[in-house]
Amino acid sequence: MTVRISNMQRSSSFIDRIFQNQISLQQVQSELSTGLKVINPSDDPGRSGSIAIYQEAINRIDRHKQRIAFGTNMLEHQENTLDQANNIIVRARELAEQAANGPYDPALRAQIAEEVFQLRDQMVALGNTTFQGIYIYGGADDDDPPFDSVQYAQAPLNPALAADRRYFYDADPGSQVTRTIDISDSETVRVVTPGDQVFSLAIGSLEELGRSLAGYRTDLDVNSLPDGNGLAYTFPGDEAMQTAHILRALDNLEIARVEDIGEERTRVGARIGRMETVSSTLDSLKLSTEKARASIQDSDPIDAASRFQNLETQLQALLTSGAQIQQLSLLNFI
Amino acid sequence: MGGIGALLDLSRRALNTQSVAIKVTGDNIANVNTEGYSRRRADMVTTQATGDENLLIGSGVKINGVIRVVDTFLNSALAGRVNDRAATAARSDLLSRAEEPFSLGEGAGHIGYEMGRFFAALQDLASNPSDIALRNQVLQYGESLTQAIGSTYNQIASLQREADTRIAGHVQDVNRLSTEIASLNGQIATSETQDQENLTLRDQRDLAVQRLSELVPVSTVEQANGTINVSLPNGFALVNGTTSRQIEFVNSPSFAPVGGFPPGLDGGGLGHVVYDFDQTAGVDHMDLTQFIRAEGGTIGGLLATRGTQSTTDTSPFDAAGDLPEIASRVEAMARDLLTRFNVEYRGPDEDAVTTPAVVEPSSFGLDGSQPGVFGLFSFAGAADDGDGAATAADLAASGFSSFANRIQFGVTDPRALAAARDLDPAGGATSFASGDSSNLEGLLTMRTAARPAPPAAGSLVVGGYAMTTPIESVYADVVSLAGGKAAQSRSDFEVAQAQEDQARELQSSISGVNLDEEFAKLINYQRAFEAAARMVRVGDELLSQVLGLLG
Repeated sequence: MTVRISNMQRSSSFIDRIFQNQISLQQVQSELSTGLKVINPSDDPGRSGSIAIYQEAINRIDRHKQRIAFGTNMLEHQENTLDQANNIIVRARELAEQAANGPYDPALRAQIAEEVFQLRDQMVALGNTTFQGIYIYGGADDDDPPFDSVQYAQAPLNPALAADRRYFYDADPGSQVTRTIDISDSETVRVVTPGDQVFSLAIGSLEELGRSLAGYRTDLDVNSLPDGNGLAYTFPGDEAMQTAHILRALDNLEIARVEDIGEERTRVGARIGRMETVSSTLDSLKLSTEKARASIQDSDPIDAASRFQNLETQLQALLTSGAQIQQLSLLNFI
Repeated sequence: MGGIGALLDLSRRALNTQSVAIKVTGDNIANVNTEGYSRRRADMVTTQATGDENLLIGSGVKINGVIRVVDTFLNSALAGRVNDRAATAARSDLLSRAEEPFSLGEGAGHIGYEMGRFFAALQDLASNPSDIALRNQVLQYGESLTQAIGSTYNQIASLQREADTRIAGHVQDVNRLSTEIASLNGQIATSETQDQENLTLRDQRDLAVQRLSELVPVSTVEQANGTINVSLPNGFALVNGTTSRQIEFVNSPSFAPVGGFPPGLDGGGLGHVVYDFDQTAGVDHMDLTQFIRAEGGTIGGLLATRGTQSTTDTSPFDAAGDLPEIASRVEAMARDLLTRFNVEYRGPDEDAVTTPAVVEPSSFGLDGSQPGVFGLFSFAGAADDGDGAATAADLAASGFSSFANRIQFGVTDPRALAAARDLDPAGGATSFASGDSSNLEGLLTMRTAARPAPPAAGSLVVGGYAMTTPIESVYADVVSLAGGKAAQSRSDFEVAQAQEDQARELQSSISGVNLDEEFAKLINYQRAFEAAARMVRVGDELLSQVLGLLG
């Protein structure tokens, strides 16, 4: 215990205490203005690493949600495309039934054939549809449209005739790749399906239907797709065959509508639903991560304001008492 | 007559004594704010009693000497505390600035934030690999990531350089103070008598010793002739009587290993505190660095933070110290990007059968271009040793000691960014699709992939740090490390400061001047002077009466 104190020690202690108070005031002021009590890692070294991880996790969730929005738009575009494909087939069936069930009329059949080929071309356009530069049904090949055309083998035929062109799924590298996007740290969703699985049968069956109505056979391979061969019908005699081929095309169209396009439509719907589920899971995860971060890093404004008030009061008391003590001296009395 | 004469004599001595005491008090009052001043005290003793027969009468008072009121034990205890405080202050200052690049406030420019953005950009591109805007985003964020790594590393490296420069300046201060103490020793030895110390010079010398102990840990021993010897904890004498030894701060001491010590973090040399025993020709250095570092002082604190090198060190990150430790983790992130990420970016070995010794790339940009060995992350002067893979051997062969300060993003053409891989790497021909993102998917797996622990193949060791966690975890680790060091050093400083304050209070309670006390003494001596003056008048009156009787 000291029994003396020197003037220099007294004034230096006074100044030190003022500094300490002012430094504490500045720290609390910084806390109040930023709303954060942990800005530097040394403010809470044990948990600063966790804060860095939480901040990064929140940023990552935001990016996942942006990607989910992109993916959802892409899948909704696919839904729309498949709905249109469904409607094309329904219209084609109406036309085919009209031609098959009515009295034999070659002129009528030829006229219906023209419309069917227009439907076929629309179907090809749907298969070649793009979304922000991506061929949705092209696999990983974004350079060329997935459905290309070639002339039928038998000649001579009029190249201008729509029946002369056969559309097929291009086998460029990457055309069989299914593509996905990351929607969370551990989940992906398919957004690109190779087009042959969805449209090849529909396009091929429309082609078969159109060619039959226009007067040409269409030979099919084991997958019920046109193999590029098909001689013209000879009339009279081939009327029954023509009708049979029209009906065969109708059956294949129905298979395409229900199994290829319909099932893909269902899967796309399911993927959209999954994206929505993951999105709302990410919302809750973001909320809980944000809460965890805030509980460590954020300042309680009421507590900080109260501490500021206390320090301010202490400083005032320190300055007042210090000034008074400094003035007391024996010199005043002698 | 002898009685009255003796009375006058006694009064004269009393007047003299009290006036000297007043002067001493005045000296104290004048020096109330002088740093290093120890209050003086006039040592009054009663003079020899004289007389004859059985009557011994005292002959008054005299000043035996003016004494400095000091407690040498408290002084040396204070010097020790000052030493600790200075060491912790130096360390705390540097480490609080070293944690700035890792702050948890605004994110842009910090490694963790930029790394997250870069990986997110890769994921965005994976959903649409042929989109040029998304490719440009990857290039932009890759560039930001390398800049964040570089600027963080450079901030740590510049703190190390600053510490080194400050040590050089402080070594000059040590030499100056040693010279001053030796000179004061000489002056004290010649000017002091048996009865009276040279108070002013001793105060100056005490202050010089205290300033010296702020820089380096010292102990003092006073000799019989009044000089002091000042030495470092290992016994090395800085001051021996009237001679002082000049220490040096050199980059290439005589005990350096063949090839020299490795450079510091910025590529420049780091100094060693040495004493050259061969002052005539050649050099024969004694290493004082470790002794000073271990015991404290500003130089010790700076050395501990800057890092000290040993003869077995091979890289800047082997130095033992806080800043190399922090920098080693930043360097590990840079090396991970330069090796593992570049290897993954080239894709699996194309035609592993044909030329198994050389890795051929299987990844492609939009127009079919393929990446080089340092395709994704690179540095000026990067070259492959011929095996087609970016490895630690390639980094070592480049001759650079650090890569965090020179890492660059290797892709400049957005179309050249290799997002796709060969669809059939085993086959001879290559084929890829513009919408394929498998190379990006491969890169993204690197984000969460750990490295094996050494000495397994594929391990990454930088200095004393072995990277066994994924790259993002390394960032969280260095945030904790920097924060922990800054907090610990700040807490150490606060403790040392409090202990110094306490020691200073004790020392000051003995040696400090209190004005009220001096004023009270002044009144006392003044009254005594007045009383002595009255005695002179009484003696004079007595003598006058005696003389009046005679004549």
